[in-house]
Amino acid sequence: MRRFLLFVLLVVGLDQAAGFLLNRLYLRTRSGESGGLINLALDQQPDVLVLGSSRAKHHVSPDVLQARLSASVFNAGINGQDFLYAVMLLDLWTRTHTPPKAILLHVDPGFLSRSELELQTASVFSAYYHQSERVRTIFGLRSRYEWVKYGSSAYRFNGKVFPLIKNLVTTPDPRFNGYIGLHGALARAPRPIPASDYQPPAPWDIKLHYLQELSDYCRQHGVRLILFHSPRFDENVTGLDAWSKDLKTLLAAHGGAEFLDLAEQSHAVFAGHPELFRDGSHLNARGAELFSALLAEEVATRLRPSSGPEASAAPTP
Amino acid sequence: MAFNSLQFLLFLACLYAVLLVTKPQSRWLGLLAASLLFYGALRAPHLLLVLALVTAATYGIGIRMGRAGAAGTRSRLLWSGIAINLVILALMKYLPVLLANRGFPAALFGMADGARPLGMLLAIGVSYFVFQAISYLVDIYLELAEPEEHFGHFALYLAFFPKLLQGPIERAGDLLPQLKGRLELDFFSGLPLFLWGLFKKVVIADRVAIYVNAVYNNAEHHSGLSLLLATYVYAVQIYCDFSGYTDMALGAARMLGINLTQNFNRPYFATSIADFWRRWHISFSRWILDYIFKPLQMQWRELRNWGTAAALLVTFLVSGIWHGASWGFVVWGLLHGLYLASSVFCRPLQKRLHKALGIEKTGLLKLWQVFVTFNLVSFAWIFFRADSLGAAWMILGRILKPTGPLYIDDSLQILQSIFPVVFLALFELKQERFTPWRWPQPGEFAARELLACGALAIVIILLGVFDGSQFIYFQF
Repeated sequence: MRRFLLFVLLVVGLDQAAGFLLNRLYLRTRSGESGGLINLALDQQPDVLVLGSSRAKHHVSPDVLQARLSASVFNAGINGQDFLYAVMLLDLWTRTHTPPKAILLHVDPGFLSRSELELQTASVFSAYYHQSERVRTIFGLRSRYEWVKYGSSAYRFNGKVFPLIKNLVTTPDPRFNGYIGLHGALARAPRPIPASDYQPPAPWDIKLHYLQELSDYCRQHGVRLILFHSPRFDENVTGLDAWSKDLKTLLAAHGGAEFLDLAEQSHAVFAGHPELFRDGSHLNARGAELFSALLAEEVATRLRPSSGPEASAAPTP
Repeated sequence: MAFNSLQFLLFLACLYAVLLVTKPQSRWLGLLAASLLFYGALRAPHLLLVLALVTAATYGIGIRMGRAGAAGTRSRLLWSGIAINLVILALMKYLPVLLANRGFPAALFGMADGARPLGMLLAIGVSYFVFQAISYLVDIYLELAEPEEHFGHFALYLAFFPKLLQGPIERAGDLLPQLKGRLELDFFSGLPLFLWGLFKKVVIADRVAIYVNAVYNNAEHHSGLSLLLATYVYAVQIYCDFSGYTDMALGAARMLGINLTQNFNRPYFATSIADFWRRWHISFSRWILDYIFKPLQMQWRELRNWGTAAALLVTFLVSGIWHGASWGFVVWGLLHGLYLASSVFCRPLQKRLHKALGIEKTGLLKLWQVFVTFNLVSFAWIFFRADSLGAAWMILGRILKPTGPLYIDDSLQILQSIFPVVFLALFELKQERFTPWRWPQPGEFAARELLACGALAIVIILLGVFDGSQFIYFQF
């Protein structure tokens, strides 16, 4: 029995030591999608914060927005993430930062639906498991036993040791604003987007709840919460229009958030232009510049002093 | 309840605690109850019924065979016992697959999707306990084992949970005496092996599986070079997956005071296919050798080498079919049969050639033999892993022209796989060539082992893949 207790103590000790050491190292990282980019985003205090998936990261150039809005902009989009990532990042961000003037949240059909993949990729926040109730709740949605796993301090860095080492030796560009332009152009037309893509499964209660919370926070702090969708190649105009209408109706019911419908303008600029796309879902750098200009123009009209948060309750043009 | 799940760890801990406060003579009862609970946790009640049926039939026939004096009666009892078990196996394992695919040829060709999953859900563990039941009956018939009179002990012999789902296939003479004796619990004699198995499963097998699945599941989009690499990586995956399971089974059993048969002995260091089968899935290869190959060889002994070759082909054809109703498994089994059958004729020539060249016992020859054997085995794995025979031929065609870009999705992922694989290879090389590291025996567990186990646990926590994936051999 003594040996058993000794073994348990040894494992707990090693686990705590490994967890402590890796956490210290992790907090020093400012690059890499296994969590370093979260640290970088938490260092920023922009006027406008862009959130979303790889489509936000590669489509929204803060430089273009900054020039048009005369406000600082940071793109905190990250590959492979979606709405829950935004929810967790904002939960951490709002604790230590004054609210931004606006949050631009990139959305696609299905961003409010339940996605197991999204729950799995949420593990980029595992280092913050003990610091955020929100992170714990979202992780708890993956399985009943998630809390047991995170009883281990080292487990927060499961699968992240090698990326951590790489990120530690990588020196990020101090001027990095979160945006990465993609190179290359579509060589051949990808498969058309199926109509079902515009009819996502019903919204997930918990995501609707988070959307409501986010909207309430923004309303209370005078932050403009603007949802937007960027173009994909050969977008189905009818499908997109129907989805946009549904989303506006849903947002109207929640209040505090607005959907910036750029479908018409995007269609005029991007339809039939494969040279502006890197692949079916991503614009290349040239396409991103054009889209960012378009977005900046529309956001600028909404951020004019006359259009306060109350005015924003009225849906988009 | 997979061995790599939290539920299993909790189950094992609770069982251990219960057995600690149980008298050593009565612990078999706790183990039997736990084994049935473990099997019942698959939420397929029919499996418990099948286990009960096999147990009752085999027990009854075994007792009657032991009491029967006449050879004819014993023979009839033996064949009826084998027939009952084989019919149950066929009904459970093959019939649902065939019915689901509306016809034998389609199922065998693996043309219909979902053939394996349906069969898999219906027959988990059945192949193993049915083979064990048959070996029990044959051993009684051959008077190599005594019929077990105690029904509870016999039921535990078939149902003992660490080996229930994926073996090892235990012989009555090895396992029954242990179950009948005093079961002395020793957590630390099983812990290192259990952790080592978990390491192989979650740190290596499940990590490299990400690459294998990415390539093999979209084989038509990948180059020959990527498919070649994925095939070698699959060889690593299936070894670490299956031997990882076995190590965990052996470790868990040792904690509970029972020694199970070693199922793997560094198979990729084999110098021939025959050597490979002495090191890979040992309990199964011994089973097919003793109960299929030897009787056939005896039957066809007048045909000399041709008889031996034919017996090998049939034996490994059965081995392929045992894995499932799919042409991929059949071809895989036949390939191994062909390798072995051809070696019956080639081996003497090879030996003479090596002698003439004076390279008989050189390290270089051994290295070459290991290389060739590994490649032959990996080649056969293509048919084992591919979704269908058509896909296997397509993959083979591409591999024969290993050009095109090498698919690397995430270089860090690759790096995360390489380090543990290299560590395993070095560890096994040390075991094979130099002073082997001996797993601690009861009472030998000291500070060094304690520290090694602690460190291994942390490595598993940091590098393991905990996505609840199943073991590959679970489906067989």
